[in-house]
Amino acid sequence: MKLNRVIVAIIAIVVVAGLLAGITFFTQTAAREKAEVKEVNIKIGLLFPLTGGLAPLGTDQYTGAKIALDLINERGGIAGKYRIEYVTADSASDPTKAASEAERLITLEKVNIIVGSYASPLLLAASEISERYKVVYYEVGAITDRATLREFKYLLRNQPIGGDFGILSPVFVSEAVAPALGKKPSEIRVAIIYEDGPYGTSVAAGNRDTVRKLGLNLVLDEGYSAATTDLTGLILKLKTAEPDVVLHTGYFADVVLFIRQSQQLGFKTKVLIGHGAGYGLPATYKELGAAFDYVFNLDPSSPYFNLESIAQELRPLNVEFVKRFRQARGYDPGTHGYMGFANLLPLLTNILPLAIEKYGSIDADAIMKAAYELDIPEGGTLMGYGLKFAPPDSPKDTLLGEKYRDTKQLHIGQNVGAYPVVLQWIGGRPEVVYPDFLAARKPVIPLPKGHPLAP
Amino acid sequence: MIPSIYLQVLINGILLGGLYILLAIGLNIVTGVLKIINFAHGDLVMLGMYVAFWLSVFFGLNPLLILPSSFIVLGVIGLLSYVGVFSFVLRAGDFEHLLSTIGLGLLLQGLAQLLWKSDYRLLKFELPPLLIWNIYISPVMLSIFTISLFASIILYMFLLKTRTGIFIRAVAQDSEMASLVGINKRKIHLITTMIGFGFAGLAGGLLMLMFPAYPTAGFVYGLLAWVIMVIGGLGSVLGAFIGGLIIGIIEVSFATFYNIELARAVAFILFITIIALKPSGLLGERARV
Repeated sequence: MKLNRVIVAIIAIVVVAGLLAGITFFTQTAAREKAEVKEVNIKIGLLFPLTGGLAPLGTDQYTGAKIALDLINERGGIAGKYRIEYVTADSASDPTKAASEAERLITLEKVNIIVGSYASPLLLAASEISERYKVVYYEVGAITDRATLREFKYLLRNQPIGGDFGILSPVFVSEAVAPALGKKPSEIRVAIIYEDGPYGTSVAAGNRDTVRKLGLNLVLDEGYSAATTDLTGLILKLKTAEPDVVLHTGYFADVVLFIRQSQQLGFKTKVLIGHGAGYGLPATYKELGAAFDYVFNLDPSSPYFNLESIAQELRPLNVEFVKRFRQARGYDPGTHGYMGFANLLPLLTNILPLAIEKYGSIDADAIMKAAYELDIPEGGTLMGYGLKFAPPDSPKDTLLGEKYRDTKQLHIGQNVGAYPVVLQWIGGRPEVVYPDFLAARKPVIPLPKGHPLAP
Repeated sequence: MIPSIYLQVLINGILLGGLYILLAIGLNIVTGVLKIINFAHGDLVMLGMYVAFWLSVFFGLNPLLILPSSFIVLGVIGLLSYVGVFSFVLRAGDFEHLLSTIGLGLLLQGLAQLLWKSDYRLLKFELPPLLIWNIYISPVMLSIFTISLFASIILYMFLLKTRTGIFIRAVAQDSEMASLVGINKRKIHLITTMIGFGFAGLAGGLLMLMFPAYPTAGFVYGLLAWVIMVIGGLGSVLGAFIGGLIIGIIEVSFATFYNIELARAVAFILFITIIALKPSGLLGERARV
């Protein structure tokens, strides 16, 4: 008897709740149909590692994103009309914290969009949450392939994928390094070393496949933990492998450690190519000085490519950004600061205006529809590359992937027009040296005589 | 080139081991004498790194000259920690020790984060490599090794020869008995904490010659110190010495001949094996100093 009463009570509650939900739903939809577009309240959550081991670059990227939002707000907001409110959350370099902060941004702060995340593990963890709540996650920095292979409906990434970093460096070796060394590609001895997180392994997988495909001679292939305190053993192993080219993927501390210990242990190589993070950082140059000159780095093209190659109207934005970044951080923006700024801009200047003007809303589905409609040609974004997100109904591989991957990767929500470029540190400044049409100058190959790592 | 690689590996293993010895030695005497599980050790090392960094940056001094001040500053922090934390929890159980030292560690991490931000801090301490019989020797690692060795020997002699040192050993072996014969246990605990923390600071100062400092840097070093201490033997200076060398050589040789990922794993497997077979460590009870 008692049990029955409980069941009845539960049913009653469910029915009432259902009715209430139904009513609110209808009134809300009705209200939305009637609503003036003016009442759009845009709230963006910025989720970056501002403390912990990833914070130095994470804060750079966060600063870039913040400047983009401020600039747009100063110009009246989205489409010149709708101001953006934004809140900051700290993922503390910890995936668990990234996930719980994403949840807080969505449930308590009620953000429409989360912008993040700088590092791949943080993206993977936080976007699981946003997907569950059907909130758009807009990635400006993390590059793990895996993120956009998960068939998420509400994830957009305007940033090249790690696998493509991995493809581009062997292509560069085969097309530019081999001729400069006067060797056939099959005579070039290549070593691949990488930090063993999602970032390093993504890049290394691309390295490995393309090295094989282009017929380069792979002499060493090994990962290490980015939290490692010592790389002596790995460097001694490299010494015995005697590579002409080292392809290295690491964060910051491990990159500095690798180059310092290589000098101390007398490791010599002709070409050293890094894949972003520490290799793109002015701080690394500050630490290593001359030993870091003539080292190559792969990064999304900003900001060191030939400015002539991007659209005229974007150039003043560039100047303003550099000025403000310098004020905020005390140094010039490196690649990561740039990504935060330039990768976020299309969301504010193209996607959201389209969502509001065409679909009259900034709910997740309208944003996604608008995003998939966009097709910006090469040179049309401040990153140099174009913009075309792969939609769920026809997932696509990236430009480089189409050309060099054996098995196609089908990405959803990935900007398939994005690709990295090869830069070289020359006199403390990275210059784009490949591909040719974006190149600001010719690469110096091999490491010149007198360089601490040159044979 | 190929045969000399073995010698190269051995030398580098020993040099790295030298650093590890110093890392473990401070933890070792605190654990041995106070019987306290100090999980803040890694963070003390981190603090030592920052002390070396800032003093070197502010005064533009050679980082080697800064080392004594790392020792002293951390010694003072040892004094404060003893008065503020350890003296209260010493009589409580292991669980309270554990929680209080974890708390102390988090406090230090938080302070470092607050005061110095999470940026990586590196010192420029570069010397050209030495090339002897086709073997490269890192002068930085060599300096670290020499100082570490020197400091360990001083500590060893201090414990062996001086009155206070003998008191410390007495308290380590049997604190009840030591009290009965009139040794002031609290004073000995305080001195030991200061020395132990000082050595953590010294290790931090040496690490700063080669490695970056950041607020969470202590974690790995703390872990390593624990592994070395358990392998060598709880509370034994000689044990820390042997444990440090073993881990250094194992890490470098496995990384060179097999895989660097495996190297750390092998160290931890050794750690687990020793815990299982001889919980007191290689030189546990027998040679306690």
